[in-house]
Amino acid sequence: MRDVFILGSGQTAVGEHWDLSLRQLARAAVSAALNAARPARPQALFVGNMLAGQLSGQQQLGALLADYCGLRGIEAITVEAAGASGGAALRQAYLAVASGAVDTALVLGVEKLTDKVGSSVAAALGSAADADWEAAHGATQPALAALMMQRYMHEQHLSQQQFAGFSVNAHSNGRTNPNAMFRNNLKAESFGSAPMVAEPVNMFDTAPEADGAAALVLGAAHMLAPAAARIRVAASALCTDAFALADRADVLQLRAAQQSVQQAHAQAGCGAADIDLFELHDGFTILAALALEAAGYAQPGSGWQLAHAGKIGLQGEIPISTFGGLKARGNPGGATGVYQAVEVEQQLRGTAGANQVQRARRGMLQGLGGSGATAVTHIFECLN
Amino acid sequence: MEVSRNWRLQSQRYRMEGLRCEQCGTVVFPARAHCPQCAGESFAAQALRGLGEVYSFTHVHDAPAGFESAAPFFLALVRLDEGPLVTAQLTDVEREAVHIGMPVGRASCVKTASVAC
Ligand SMILES: [Zn+2]
Repeated sequence: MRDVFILGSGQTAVGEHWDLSLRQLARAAVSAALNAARPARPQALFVGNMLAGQLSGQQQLGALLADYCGLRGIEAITVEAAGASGGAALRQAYLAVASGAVDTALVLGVEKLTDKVGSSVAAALGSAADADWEAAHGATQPALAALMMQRYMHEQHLSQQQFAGFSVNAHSNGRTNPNAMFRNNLKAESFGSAPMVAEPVNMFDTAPEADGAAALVLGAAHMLAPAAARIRVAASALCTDAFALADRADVLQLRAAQQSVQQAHAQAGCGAADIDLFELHDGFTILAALALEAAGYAQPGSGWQLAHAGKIGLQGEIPISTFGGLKARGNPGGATGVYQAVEVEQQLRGTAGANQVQRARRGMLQGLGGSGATAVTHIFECLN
Repeated sequence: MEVSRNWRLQSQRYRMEGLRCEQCGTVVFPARAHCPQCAGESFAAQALRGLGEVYSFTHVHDAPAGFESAAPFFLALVRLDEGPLVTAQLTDVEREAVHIGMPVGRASCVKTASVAC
């Protein structure tokens, strides 16, 4: 396996893009990424997408988007792993370059969620769960997160309010991200008063579903421009767990996340303390707490204690959701993992502006599929 | 749910027929091909009484398509007396009475079946 570097990236704003189709969103992100990576041209395209088949009636996105983005003829496929689709597509692009099969690969995350009404989108997102044994009973992603959160609160004697810090931090960081869906501060006092989605998960515990596209060009070392910053993909790991929440050895342990982090640490030759920022999958506040535990930043049952700016803020011990995370930047489904990758890249290039984590050298990103059956973790490292 | 899918799952969805691993004795529900404890592949039938207690629960307000008329409804993880943890709706319960540890009767979901099928 040879080293893989990031040559360039692009993203659209996350939001309700009534005026843009799936392919138009994709092209906007791809154009920006190809411009940034010039003169390198991708030899393969890996699309991270979750729901185009269900919500847009569109499959075979690889060929469609290669064609529409001016790349007709290249190898192109879709990678699907629910909310982890973007990270899984990134891993396929990484493997393609690392193996020597191609010198350059384009990873594109794209999702169009706002063409359908809320209950249809909830049911489509719910297809990440077990169709026979979870969704058949009306389980949605928020409902499964609520089952985890209720149990966690019971075991640790917590109230819903004690998770507020995760969403407050996300909104604080989203405020200065021009691509974020929510750019307003969230007050801890108002956190508990939001309408319930699936008790105890309320609207401020959850991330907004939205449209968006982000793209990243990866390449072998000889594809880097001489003066370019050397941002290396230092680790790439994807693990799976028991599929249904009820079948997990412990419903409060994200075992796939834990294993993928351990593998990523080993590949990158570093530990939890060497990571300068962590873009985790904060689709629900409980997942932020559990992901921090799985990554070794807190003991089981104590991840909620990190929900304060001093711990997870831009100047905190382990900054998370530095551009707003899923909660404030928005959750464009299968595109989310590629947004995380672009954000970590910006942090390591030092181009994060008001969202900059000082002296960021290593950044970790993690996507979760459904309630955690898939976890994909990457570490990027700046070699300059 | 499609008629054929429901027909395939009827012995489990309506009669809660589980399996017992012949190698290590683990009780499994719903049926699967490999024992989650020992990876064994031979099972004997294991009837489940449908009795257990609430391990976790949620009151779902934002229902997915197909469940709108049922909302709000209780969804729970129920620890069956025989061991398995199952996902089920809780029906015919008082709103304030639901809590972790609450004993439940038959934890299959007749209500879900009639709403969604
Ligand atoms: Zn066994």
